[in-house]
Amino acid sequence: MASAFELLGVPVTFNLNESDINAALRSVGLQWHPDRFACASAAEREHAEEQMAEFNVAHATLCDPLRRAIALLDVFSCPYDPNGVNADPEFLMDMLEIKEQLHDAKQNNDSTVLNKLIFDLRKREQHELAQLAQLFTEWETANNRSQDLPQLQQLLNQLHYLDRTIETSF
Amino acid sequence: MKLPILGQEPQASELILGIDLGTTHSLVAVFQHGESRVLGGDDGNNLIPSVVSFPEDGAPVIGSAAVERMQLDPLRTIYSAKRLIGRSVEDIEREIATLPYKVVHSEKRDMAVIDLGDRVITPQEVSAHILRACRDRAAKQLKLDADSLKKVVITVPAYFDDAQRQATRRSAALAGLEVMRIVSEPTAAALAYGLNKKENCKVVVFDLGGGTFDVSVLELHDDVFRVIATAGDTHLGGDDFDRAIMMHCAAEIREQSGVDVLAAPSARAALRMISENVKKQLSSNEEAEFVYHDANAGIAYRRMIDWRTFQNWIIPHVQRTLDHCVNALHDAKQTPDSIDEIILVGGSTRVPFVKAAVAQLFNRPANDNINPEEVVARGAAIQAGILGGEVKNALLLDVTPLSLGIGTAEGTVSKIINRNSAIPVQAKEGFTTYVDGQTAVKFTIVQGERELVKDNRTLGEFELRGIPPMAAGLPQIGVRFHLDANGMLNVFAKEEKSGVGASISIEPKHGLTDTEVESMLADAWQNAEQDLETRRVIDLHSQRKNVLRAVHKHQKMAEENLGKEQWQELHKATLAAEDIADSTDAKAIKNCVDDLENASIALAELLMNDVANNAVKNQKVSDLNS
Repeated sequence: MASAFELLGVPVTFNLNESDINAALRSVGLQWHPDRFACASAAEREHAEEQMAEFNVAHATLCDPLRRAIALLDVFSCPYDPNGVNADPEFLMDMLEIKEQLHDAKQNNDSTVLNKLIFDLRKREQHELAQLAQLFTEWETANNRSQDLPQLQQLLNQLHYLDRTIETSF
Repeated sequence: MKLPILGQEPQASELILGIDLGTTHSLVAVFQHGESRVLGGDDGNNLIPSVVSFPEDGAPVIGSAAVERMQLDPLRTIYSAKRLIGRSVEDIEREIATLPYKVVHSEKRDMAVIDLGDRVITPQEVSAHILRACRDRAAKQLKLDADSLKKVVITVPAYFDDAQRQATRRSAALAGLEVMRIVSEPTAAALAYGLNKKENCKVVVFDLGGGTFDVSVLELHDDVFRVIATAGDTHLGGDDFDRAIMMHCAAEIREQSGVDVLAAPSARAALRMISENVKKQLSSNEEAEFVYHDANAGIAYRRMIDWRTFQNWIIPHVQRTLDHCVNALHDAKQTPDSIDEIILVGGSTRVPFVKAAVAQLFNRPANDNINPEEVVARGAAIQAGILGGEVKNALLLDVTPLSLGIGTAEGTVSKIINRNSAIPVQAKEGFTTYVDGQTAVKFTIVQGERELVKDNRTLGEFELRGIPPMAAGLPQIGVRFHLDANGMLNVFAKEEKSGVGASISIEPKHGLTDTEVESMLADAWQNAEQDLETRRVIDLHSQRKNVLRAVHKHQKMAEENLGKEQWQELHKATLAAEDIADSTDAKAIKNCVDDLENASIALAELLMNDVANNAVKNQKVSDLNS
């Protein structure tokens, strides 16, 4: 099956900007959206529905940095496996502490502390995303991709964890 | 000699109508000669009231003629059917309490239906009549044969779920119309606002209609309109403002007269109309008077309502619209400052307090240059133009407002499509069997954001049948969920191991099956439209009799207690109303009824005072007793 990158016809790289991804969707949409086939046969309309659904899923994948990263690893035949990753003990300790603070803030209904914690988590996520982008830039052009793969996967794992922590802290 | 015909002329593409099927009124528009145009009625009014009256003794009456029957025949005159469509009675309990007509639960369909007494009708039928009226108006205005107009684009609130969209499509089928596309109202509005605009920008559409609220965040880029996020509430609108006024005044009337005025359906209908009028006046005036007289019940109520009071009454509703704006911005990863323009849509955005609240949230005044009542219909027409090929290079990319999930055995929801995903979209899910030789698997599909199945809307029970008998857990049934460009769900299933396409049956939770639609279609249009004038005369006579009955009942009291001039006026009007019993002149009867009603106000006030005095007397007696 074609990758999200191929489907939308964008460069196979982690470092895409959102306006380029949106422009790609607009261009396939003008060609494939079911609205373009309103007066065509039922079979053609159905085909357009399926095509456009795939483009939309691809667009959503590319717009989300974590899903984009996983799709990219797939393209390079290095599928992401969260279970096969060794976690950074320091990161785990940090998270354990933050989770406890989040729990306390919620128990005490202290929105000031809670907001601060979420703000910090977001900042950390931004920082790690920038790091991920940097790592991918090197990794995409590296001769030996398997060498830096564990580091990439570890960072990806951490980002997933941060994402879920933020999502569940409201 | 004629040249042989080599190929047929390409057929002029069939005209597609754009219909805004609203809670309080509907509009029809077309895209012709490079622009969208709303089609007006003979009276020059573009709005068709979304009201259908079903007289006991004749054909249904639709639009403004039906509005005239609201008070006269409250149990058979249906408005706000859009609030009921695709819903069950428990979804809308709060609203049903204030409706003059009777809404009941249909066991057979698991949905809310309207009980007229002698028969039951569905909200879909009501909408079908309105859609028909839209089509007929278009045929008349465009001088086309009504039967040649079969294709439509219909707008629905962005926040309508699958059941509500399906029900809307069924309404069109009942009316003999084919829905080419269901478009979200705010998206349609954005299309009408932004087509052929040179600059690329981000806009928020704030759409507060009669019964529903939507807010959408869109990106406009070279005539491609991409919805980034949408939020809303299908039970929030101008109707709630009317109801706020109505509830406050009804409570005061009860205090003053001791009469539970909301108990009578005709009074409910009357109070609602007065409330709506007061609301409209308060959009341009500092204050408005609420006047309600009922000689029969002995009620004469007057009250000035200033804008400040009205504002206080509607604060909770307006606050809810702002909360949805914040949610939509969050989902779209935008801030109020990153938005270039705010577009107000829907008649309820004419309320100054609503405008001010939106301006405050976004730190700037909203765009109110466009006609908020017509912009959705014009957008529907433009979309019709896109589908028909007249509008080139423009495109709408919309999203689904609600997440789609599968109910698990534990009663929780496993999400398969997130809200605000661009549509069409699809997701695949694998199922297997739990028992050896099992040939069918059942599962529930829900729409909504909550964690538990019971807190979301169940779209239906799905059953995969025809699975080849195998050991438990061995079959791999791949189910594909496809939300189409109309935001409606289609389900496909296949057993992967054997390659057998499992047949799938979908039990719609709310709504009608195909056969039901067919049979309804057959009876629906048998009754030809009755001559409206005849209908009006019948109605005016029954109104005349009602007022006369009230006056006769209290005649003695009126004669004894009214001032001489007032009594003479009432007496004269009574005689005139009695004399006109055999007339068929609607205008003359109407004048007589109006005169009699005006002359009886003094009597109503008299009765009211009487009730009030009694109440005071009673109180004194009870004071003594205690």
